[in-house]
This record gives sequence, structure tokens and C-alpha cells, in this order.
Amino acid sequence: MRKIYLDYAASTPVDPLVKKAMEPYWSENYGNPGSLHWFGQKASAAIFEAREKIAKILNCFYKDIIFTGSATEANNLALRGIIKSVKRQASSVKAGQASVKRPRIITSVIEHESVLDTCRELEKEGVDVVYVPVDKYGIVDRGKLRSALNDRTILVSIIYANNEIGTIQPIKEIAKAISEFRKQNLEFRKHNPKSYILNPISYPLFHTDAVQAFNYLDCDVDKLGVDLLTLSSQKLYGPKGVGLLYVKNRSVITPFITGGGQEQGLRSGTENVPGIVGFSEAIVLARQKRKKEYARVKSLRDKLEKGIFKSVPNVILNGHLAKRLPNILNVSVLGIEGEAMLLYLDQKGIYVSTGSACSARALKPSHVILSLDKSHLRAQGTVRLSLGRQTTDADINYVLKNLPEVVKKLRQISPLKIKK
Amino acid sequence: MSKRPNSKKYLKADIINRFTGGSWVYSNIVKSHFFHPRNFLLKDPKLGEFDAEGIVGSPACGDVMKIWLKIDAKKDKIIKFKWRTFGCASAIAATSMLSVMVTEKGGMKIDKALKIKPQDITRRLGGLPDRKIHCSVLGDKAFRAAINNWFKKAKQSNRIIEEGPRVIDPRVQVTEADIEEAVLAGDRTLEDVQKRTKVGVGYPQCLPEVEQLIQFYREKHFGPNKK
Repeated sequence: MRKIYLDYAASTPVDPLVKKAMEPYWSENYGNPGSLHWFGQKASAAIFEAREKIAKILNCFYKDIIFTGSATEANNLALRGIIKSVKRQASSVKAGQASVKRPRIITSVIEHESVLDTCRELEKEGVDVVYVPVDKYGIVDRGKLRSALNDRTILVSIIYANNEIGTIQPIKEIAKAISEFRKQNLEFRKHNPKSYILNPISYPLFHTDAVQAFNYLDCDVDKLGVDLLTLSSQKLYGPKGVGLLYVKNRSVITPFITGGGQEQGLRSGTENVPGIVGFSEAIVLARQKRKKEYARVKSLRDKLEKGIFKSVPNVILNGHLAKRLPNILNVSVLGIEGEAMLLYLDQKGIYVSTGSACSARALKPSHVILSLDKSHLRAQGTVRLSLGRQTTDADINYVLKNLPEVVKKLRQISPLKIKK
Repeated sequence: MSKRPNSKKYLKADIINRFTGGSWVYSNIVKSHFFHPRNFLLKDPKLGEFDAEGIVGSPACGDVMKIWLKIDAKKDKIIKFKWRTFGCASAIAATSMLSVMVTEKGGMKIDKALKIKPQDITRRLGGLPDRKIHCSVLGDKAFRAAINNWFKKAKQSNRIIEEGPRVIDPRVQVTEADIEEAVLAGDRTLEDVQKRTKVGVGYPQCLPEVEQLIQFYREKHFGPNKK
């Protein structure tokens, strides 16, 4: 049977060149990078080289890259690490100075769970979290974001491109608004030197989760104007089990994993040498292929989108028509349930993803779709088709031939006849 | 460390089918009924084609089921059971299986059919993953609604089944007894109970009451909360 993988936003196959680059670090150069002998130094050099390669592409200082075990860990390190550090600063404040009693984090309602759930945890620890709403295309409300900025705001974390609907956020614009706010604060502080504890030169910090974005969008941290950025290896044709956090100023983070002091003390634990080597190779390749792949994947996605809207009635597009990743197509097929559709497509050899309540682990419908439209009906019938390097025109034809039949059959079974 | 109830059960990941031990979420029987549903209603019924109908569920919780019945009044038997379901694989397979159980061997006597429990359907399906069991409960409820509809029409109001326990969430027909059962099965928080029963997902007004009930049944069965 044909196997058509359309779930690249979930994970990607490891590129053969990446695999080759990793090969020597399993059983030949297996030393611990922390060891001073030949084996250790060989591994240490490999990590140094990987770090430099990545730094060049992100346009940052090599020491500002912290390797982690996943993007989820990187997001946790950013959020928890920054809050921890500020709380420490506050506890060592001299008498008479004001301190940050309730630090604020500003984020959006369509972040990845690793940010949202961490924020909910931090709320329990006394952090004030503002969840900025989005419009019906999934774009963050900049007005509300700007008005949420206050002198207790420590961090703004906004996803670069959403993982479910692919909507791209105006990161540069948000970065500009934050830097203007800092300038205002600096002015204010000049005149009121004792009123303010947070250093307006660095706070509020700006973090973006660029996990889905890197394959297709520019991630030059300088151009974006971000202070922190998260990446995941497995989303860009690298191995699983590696992520990274870029931090412009390492002193804003206090680690929550302590031990041997690896990654400049910010993330202890022996480095995943083959993983990191593979990750850097994957980043280099993804950067090389970015432009060509963008155009190729976009034309396939557009064909798929047009075809589905032509052959299946009562379908709603989720996400922004233009400001969207070129590889993601997320639609709500009204009147049927996502999990049922996923399994019928699975039987035809088409592998997709759903945001329905009965999907993989959660029993709640997708928070992303619900933030676009409160209607559960729209959230229950969502499917995400995400394309990638191995997707061909023939694959798209096959999907367009089979998907309408599946929808037709499930709609026959369903008592709900919902129209747009 | 807190003691976990049914610790043996917790040793297995919930993606593993409890009944078959298979690593795919759904048994072959579930798959067969899901991919080839039996007795579902293809065309909208003509007037008088069926004797009774029943519907439960709300799209907000992801399941809606509608059932149509043809009944042999003299023999007090159900001869036709047609259905439509908006829901996941478990919901579709469970309704399909129920329709087979009720109509096989020339149809089932009404009284016997009413004794079918959700657990009987789950068993015939070769099991469902734990967190999917609630999806199979609605079929049984829609069926009762249809039978009651028949009793009304046939002027047998003495046979109408009064749902014993009080309904907490009318959208999904979750009763007090369902909450008690969930607590007995090991659920401790509102989230747990919601995962199992979907109570309040489409009817959040009832949530404060559900929380009270969870606490009540916890204390009833496991003693007062020690903190």
C-alpha cells in the first residue's frame, strides 16, 4: 500500500546526510565531552563545531546557544529560568528598594502546550500571566499585547509560527514594540532612580518558539529582535531528543537542572553528542534548502487546498490565508469527527493529524481552533495535513482522490448536517 | 508516595488494549465495525418508516447519536435498529455493535434488549481503551430514549423506564450514579471524571455540583480527605 506521510509538523525523517554526520559519534568517538583525554576532547570539539555552525546561521555568539533534550525543555528553561532568576534578584534586594512582587509573563492563547502549560504552572507559583487573544486567523492582537506591558513584565513569549494552523506572527513588529517600551522605562528610571527594580536594559525579555518556523522562515535572531529563541531538531530533519535555546544574555536565566555545569552551567547533564552533531548538520541543510523548499511545498499545499475545497463541501480553512507556513493545511470538515477521519485516512495509507477532542492524548478539542472560533463543531472536525521534503505531486493527487470519499462516508454515518 | 488504586492496571500504558493486550488502540472487532458500520441509516427515513426514535449527546462533547427503531408490537420485539453517529471510532463501533446485538437472530425482545449494558457492548467489541469507554456509553442511552419513545406511542406508559439516578448533565445524560462509578473506578479529580464521562463539557453549569458529588463519593467510599 502507498504510505503518504502528511504529518511533518509532528516529526520529520532524519536526512541521510544528517545520519552520516552522526555516525562517528556512536561507537568511535564516544567520549564524554567533559573528559580531558583524547576521547573527551574529540567529543568536545564536535560540540564546539556544531555550536559554531548553528551560531553562524542564527547570527549569534556561539556561547549563547544552550542545547537541551527537547524544544519543550528549551521553552521550560526560558520561562522557568527567567522567573527563577528574577525571584532571586528580588530576594537579594536591599531594604528601601522596590521589588517585583508579582512578575508578569505575556503570552498568547495559541502557544504550544509546552509554553501554555508551563505558564499555568507558574501562575500557581504567583506569576501573573496574561494570555493575549488572537483574531479569527490566529494572529496575536498587538494592541492588547502592548497594553498588557507594564513595569512588572519580565517576559513576552510568542510563537513564531503556530504548529496547528501555521499562522505566522509579526515577531519583528512585536520586538519593536517591546524595545520601545524598554526605552520609555529607561527614561522613567532616569528620573525616578529608586522606583524600579527590573533593569529596563534587558526587561521585558522577548522569547519566540521558532520550532515550526525554521524550515521556511528567516530565523536571524538579530533581524527578528528576539532575546530568546527555541528550536527542535526533529522538526527539521534531525534526530529526536535534541532542542536548543538561544539566549542573548545568559545571566537572565537561573538553571533548573543542576549538576556537572554543562552548557555554561545552564543545563547540566552529559551532552547528547551524536544528537547535537546531527542537529547542527540538519540546521545547515534546512537553511540551504529553505528557499527552494518553500516554493515547492507551497505549490503542493496550494494544490491540495484548492482540490479539497473544490471536491468537499462545508469545509472551513483554519489559519491565515497568506501569513501562514507553506507546508501546513488545517481544515475543519463540518459534521464529522476528527479522530474518525484520521483513522479512515490511515486505512488508506494517508497519515494526518487532528485537533478533535478524541485525538491522541487529550480529550479536549484543540485550544488553537477554539481560540479562533468558540464553536466546538469547528474544533471537532479538524484535520491538519503538513507537507515536507518527501511529499510529491503524486502524493497530493492520491490524497485528493481518496479524501473526499472518506468525508462522504463519514458524513453518511453522522446525524449532524452542518453547513457553513 | 500515595497509594494508587488498582496498581496493576497502572503498570500498563493506556495505549495498550486492556482486553487483548494488543498494542494498537482498537481491537479488530472495533476496527471492523468502525470501517464497515452495520445498520446505519443511509437515507433520511420516510414518514412512518420507523416506530420510534431517540437522540442524545451534544456536538460540544464530540458525540451525537440518533437511533430509529422498527418494532413488532405483537411479539414485543425489535426488528430494525438504524442509527447515525457523530463521533470517534469508539462511538461509531459501539453503536454499530449495539445494533447488531439487538437485531441478530430475528430481533430481541424489548425487555431483554433493555438489559444490555455498556459493558456488554464493550465486551462484544473485544474491549476499548480505558479512556475511550465513555464514548461507547451514549449508544445505550440513545437506545433507551428510543424505547421510551415507543412506550409513549404504544400507550404503555407503565413501562417507561424512569432513569433511577438523577441526571446531572442532560447533554450527555450523565447521572449521579455515573459519577459514583467513576469515583469507585479510581477517579479523584474533576478532570479525571470528565475524561471518563465528559460531564459538563457541553454543559458547564453543572460543574460545581459535579465537584461536590466527587467529594461526597470520595468521602463515602474512601473516608474523609486527609490533608
